[in-house]
Amino acid sequence: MANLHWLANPGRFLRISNAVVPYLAGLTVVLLAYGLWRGLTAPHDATQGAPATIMYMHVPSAIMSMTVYGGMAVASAVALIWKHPLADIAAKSSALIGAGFTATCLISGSMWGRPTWGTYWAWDARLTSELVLFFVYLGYIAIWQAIEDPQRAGRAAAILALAGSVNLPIIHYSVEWWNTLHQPAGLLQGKTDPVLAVPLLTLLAAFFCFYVTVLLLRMEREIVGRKIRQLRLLQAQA
Amino acid sequence: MTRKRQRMIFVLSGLGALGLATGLTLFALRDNLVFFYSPTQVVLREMPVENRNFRIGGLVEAGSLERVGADTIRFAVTDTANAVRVTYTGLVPNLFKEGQGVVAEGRLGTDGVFVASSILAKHDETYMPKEVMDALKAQGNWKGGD
Amino acid sequence: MAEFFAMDGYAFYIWPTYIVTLGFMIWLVVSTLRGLAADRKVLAELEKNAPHRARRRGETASSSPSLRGAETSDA
Repeated sequence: MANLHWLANPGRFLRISNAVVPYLAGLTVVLLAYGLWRGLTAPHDATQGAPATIMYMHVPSAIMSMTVYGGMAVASAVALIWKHPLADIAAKSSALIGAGFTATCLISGSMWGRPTWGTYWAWDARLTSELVLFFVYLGYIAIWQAIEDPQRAGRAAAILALAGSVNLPIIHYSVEWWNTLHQPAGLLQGKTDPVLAVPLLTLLAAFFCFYVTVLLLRMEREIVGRKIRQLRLLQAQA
Repeated sequence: MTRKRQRMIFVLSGLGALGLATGLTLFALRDNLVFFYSPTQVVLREMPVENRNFRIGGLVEAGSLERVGADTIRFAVTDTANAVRVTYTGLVPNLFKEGQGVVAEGRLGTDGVFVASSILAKHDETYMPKEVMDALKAQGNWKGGD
Repeated sequence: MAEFFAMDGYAFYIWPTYIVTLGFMIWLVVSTLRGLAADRKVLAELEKNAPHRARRRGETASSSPSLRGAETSDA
């Protein structure tokens, strides 16, 4: 764990973070602009027509909703086992980003479903398990809000995050294990023509860079927030 | 060091137990987790008791779609092994056509014809521009519907 | 151009999706940066008025010794 302890020093973390963030932010903007331009000017899907354009928002949102959760669960495990303060902060700072992507995944999916399937919503395994993911994020955020002491809140939230991670394989494999209205994943199986896959993957990269950028900023805010808390406690005691 | 080890074992075994419990639950509920039944399952009567609403899903069989009256249609849902005839009155989604995926909700009549009360279209995970699809069709490499 | 925005009649489904998704991303960045700026200000203020000992331990925003919360502060 030598590497993790090396990063545990918040001063060092903030120095690295502050140095990296401007470049990551720039990369996010460039990838986002390029992906949107290529995606919106690409020819429409032959079967579905214009509504398939929604996939450029839906697919990256969906993948990120699960990626962010995965990161949050790993950070929670590190926080629980090694009591690593930065891991705790990383997990907490991820939640709102992930919850947001889950929401945009559900909304964009709904807007895609109506013109193609003929319904905004269906209780199939994929849609339902993604909705469960959203509620797990909300529960995680609620724990941090409800418990005053960061140590106790962190432990309770980490246990919830780990327990909720059983949902990740369910979401991913739902379309293979059960009959669903939702189609299986085809992006990485080469079932998407490059003309459509290139903007889609570009936007996925853009969403990922966005996530890392915002995560670093939110972690810094959390570190500052904890220092404020600590100083106030010190002043109260003085 | 041993405390860390203890916590790691605790977390891992907790996750393992939870995963096992979830897996068993999902396995026990597997029949209720499907969104629709295939024509083969319907032919073998592997769906809920008759006179109850359920969904049937598959492809709209090529050449089976016919219009009866103003907005009533008849077609067959197939999974290539078996087919079930369906009748439906109402609007259909834009994607609904022969060779496309479909999910119909309704009940099975005593005559073996499925009376649908709603129709949803299902689509697959292949996305391509029209020119590419036309080229594939011209080469005879097209595997999807029309 | 009008044809592009009409999206073959599906504009009602497509553009709100883009606005909601990109709007969320912009909102998250703006609210994070604003919150960070506000918290930095509060911290700077606190460090200025802090007891001598606390100031010595955490002079700059980037070198505070502990993040663990109250129990590690030995005051």
